[in-house]
Amino acid sequence: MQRNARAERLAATVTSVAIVGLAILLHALLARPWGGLVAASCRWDCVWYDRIAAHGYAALPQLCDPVRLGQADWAFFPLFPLLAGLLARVTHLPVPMAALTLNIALLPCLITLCADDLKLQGRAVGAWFLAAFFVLYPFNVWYVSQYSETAFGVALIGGVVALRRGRVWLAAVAFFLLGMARPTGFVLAACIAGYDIVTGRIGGDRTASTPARRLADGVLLVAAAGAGLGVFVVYLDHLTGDGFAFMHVQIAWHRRFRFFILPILHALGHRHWLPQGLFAIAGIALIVWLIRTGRLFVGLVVGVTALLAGSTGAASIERFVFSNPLVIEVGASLAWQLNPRRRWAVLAAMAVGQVLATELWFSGSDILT
Amino acid sequence: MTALKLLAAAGLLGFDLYALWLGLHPRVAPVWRAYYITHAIDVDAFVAELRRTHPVQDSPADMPPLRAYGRPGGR
Repeated sequence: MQRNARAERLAATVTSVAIVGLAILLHALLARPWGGLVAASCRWDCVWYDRIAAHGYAALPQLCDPVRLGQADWAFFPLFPLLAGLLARVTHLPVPMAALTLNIALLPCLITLCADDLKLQGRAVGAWFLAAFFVLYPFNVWYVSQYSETAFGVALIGGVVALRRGRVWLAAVAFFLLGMARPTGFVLAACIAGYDIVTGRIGGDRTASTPARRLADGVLLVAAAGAGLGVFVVYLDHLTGDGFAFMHVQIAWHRRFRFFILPILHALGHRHWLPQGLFAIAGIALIVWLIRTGRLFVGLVVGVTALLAGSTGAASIERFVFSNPLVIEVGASLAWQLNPRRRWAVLAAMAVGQVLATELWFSGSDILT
Repeated sequence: MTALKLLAAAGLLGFDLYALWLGLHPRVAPVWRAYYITHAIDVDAFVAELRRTHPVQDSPADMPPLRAYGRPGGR
C-alpha cells in the first residue's frame, strides 16, 4: 500500500517536472524578443532580490537614485535571496539565472505538495491536470520569475501538508521558513495554528487530537514562525540598529497602514492604479465567495494576506490574492469536477490568459506587479 | 512528546521576545527616526542629512538605474 503511494507520488512528480519543463519552454519562446528568459522575467522587485542575493543587505538606503530615494532592500525578506545566493555560489551561475533556476526547480515541488494537500482533504485531482492547471494559470507569472512566490508557496503548503499528516516538527520547520519568506509569513502561520487549535480540522490523527495537544502544537508552530521572523529582526538590528526596518522602510514607498478600504478607493480614483483597484474588488469578492462556500481555511489565509497587504496600498494585490497556491488548488479542484470536454476548455482559456499575462509581465506593464 | 514540544516552544518564544524587544528599541540616529519611524520629515530632508553624514559620491547601497526593471515595489 505504502509502495503504491510512493509510486503514485513519483509519477505525479515526474508529470509535474515534464509539464513545468514544457511551460518553461513556452516562456523561453515568448521571452526571445525581450532578450531571453532570464532578462525578460526579471521585472519590478527582481532587482532588489538579485542585489541581496549577490551582495547581501545594504546598511544604507538609496541616496542617489532619484526614483528610489530612501528605499532599501530591508523590505524584502531573506529566504528567497538567501537560497538564490547560495545556488549562485555553488553553481557559479549569474545571480538572476540562479534565482530563476531555483524557482523553476521548486515549482514541481510546490505542485506535488498541492496534489498532496488536495488528496489529504479528499479532493484529489489528476496529477497531469493539476500540473497543467498550475502552469497555465494566468496569475502564476511570479512563480517563473525571480520573485519569492515559489519559496513562500513551498513553505506555506509544505507546512500545511505536514500539519495535515500530523508531522508537527516538520510543520514547525516549514513555518520557520515561512516566517523568513515574507512579512505576512508569521501572521499566516499564527492564523493557521489558531484555526487548527479552534477547529481541529487541519492536524492529522484527529482521533488522538485533544484541545490541549492542539494547543501545544499551535504554540510550537507560532513560536517557530516567530523565530523565522526574529532571525531577520535580529539581523536588521545588527545591520542598521532598527530591527523593524523592514516595516519602517515602507514609508519610502509611501505605504502606511490605513483602513483597507481607503487604499482601494484611492486606487479606483486614479487611472494609473485602476487595475489594482479592480483586482482588489475582485479579490474581496473571491474571499467572500470562499467563506460563503465553506472554504473557511482558504478564505482565512487569503483574507488575512489581502488585509495586511491591502492596508498599506493596492499595489500587487493581484499577486497576494490570486497567486496564492491555496487559491490555485481551489480552482484546479473545481475545474477537475467538470466533464472532460469542459476541463479542456478551461485549460485552453487559461492558456490564452497565460500568454497574455506573460507578455504583460515581460513588457514591464504595471498591470501585474 | 507534548512536554518536548512545549520546551522547544518556550525556547523559541524566548528568542521571539528578544527579537521583539530589539524591534521595539531601535538604536538609530535622530534623522533616521524622524523619517522612517515618526514620519516627521520628508525624504528630501532625510537624504540630504544622510548624504552630509555619509559624504560619498554614490551610496554603496545604490543600484544601477531602473532601465528595464520597471517601477520598484515594496515587498
